[in-house]
Amino acid sequence: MILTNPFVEVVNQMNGIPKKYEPKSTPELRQKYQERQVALYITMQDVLTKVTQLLGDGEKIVNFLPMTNEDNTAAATDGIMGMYAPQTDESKEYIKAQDSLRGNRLMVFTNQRIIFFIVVEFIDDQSQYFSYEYDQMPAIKFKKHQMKAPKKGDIVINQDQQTWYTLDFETKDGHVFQEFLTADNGKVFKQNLLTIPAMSQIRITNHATRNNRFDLIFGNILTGFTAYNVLAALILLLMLISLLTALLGGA
Amino acid sequence: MALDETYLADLETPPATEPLDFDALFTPLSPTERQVFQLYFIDDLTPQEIAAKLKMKRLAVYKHLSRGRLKLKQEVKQHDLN
Repeated sequence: MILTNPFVEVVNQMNGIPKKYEPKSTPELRQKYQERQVALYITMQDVLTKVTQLLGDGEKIVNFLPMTNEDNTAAATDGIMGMYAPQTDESKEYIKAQDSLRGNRLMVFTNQRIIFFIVVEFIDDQSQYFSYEYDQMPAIKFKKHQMKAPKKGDIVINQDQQTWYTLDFETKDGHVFQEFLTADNGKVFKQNLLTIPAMSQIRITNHATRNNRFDLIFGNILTGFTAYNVLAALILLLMLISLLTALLGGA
Repeated sequence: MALDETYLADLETPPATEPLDFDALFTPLSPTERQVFQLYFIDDLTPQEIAAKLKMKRLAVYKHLSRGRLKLKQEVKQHDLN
């Protein structure tokens, strides 16, 4: 986790959301945050230039949805252990300035599709992105979750309601996307559901929808997680039975 | 930082902070759909909560959301034609 990751704020400003100053706990953290912010402004300008080159005829950018390991999750789209080997000087500089590998990810909503990429990968290679056309998405799981959690730096008595959303879909050509959205991400996504006409034929559900059963089992992180838990419980049970048998046999 | 405006959509791109005019936006919807949309998009309730509040099935909430969004799309199309 990077305490001074300015990615969300920089992208929010690109969306037209005014700067929300969050005081950092120490002057050193504040300074580090500002240094990273300046470096990221320059990087993102270059990234945006590259994104605009991907747009087709009549295609317009609607807004951006930032995702980070600090606010979202590293489970679904961060890759294997979030590892990455930079190939160009630009990406090396980015990693040095941001202390981040694949953590910062960007979803670009256009009037025709969603473009998704991991920033460092995209800096290295402009062809490293995923494109999800709205007319290729029959359904999207967009589910709200809430949990009470202690306030930052507070004792358990004072609790905050934490909100997050699951975003999950499979395109007709078999591309699966899964991610957890923050409450702010969720607001942007909901607004897009209302204001992007091409998204209106997408069905909103509260369960994962897949093209076939194979994908539902093997292309679904939640099923995988459940299966892993069940398997772990079975192994534990077998171990307990073996232990009890050995103990009783010994007696 | 500003993006080259040539690539930004104009009509359907209110900045995320600029409040949408929901009353105007929801005009083409039926009263029930408007209620469902109000609770889902403005009050940020889940379909389960909306179903409990409006005494309908959860599936019906999803149907209202889908039909309503298609109506809004038709409205945009109509607007573009005019």
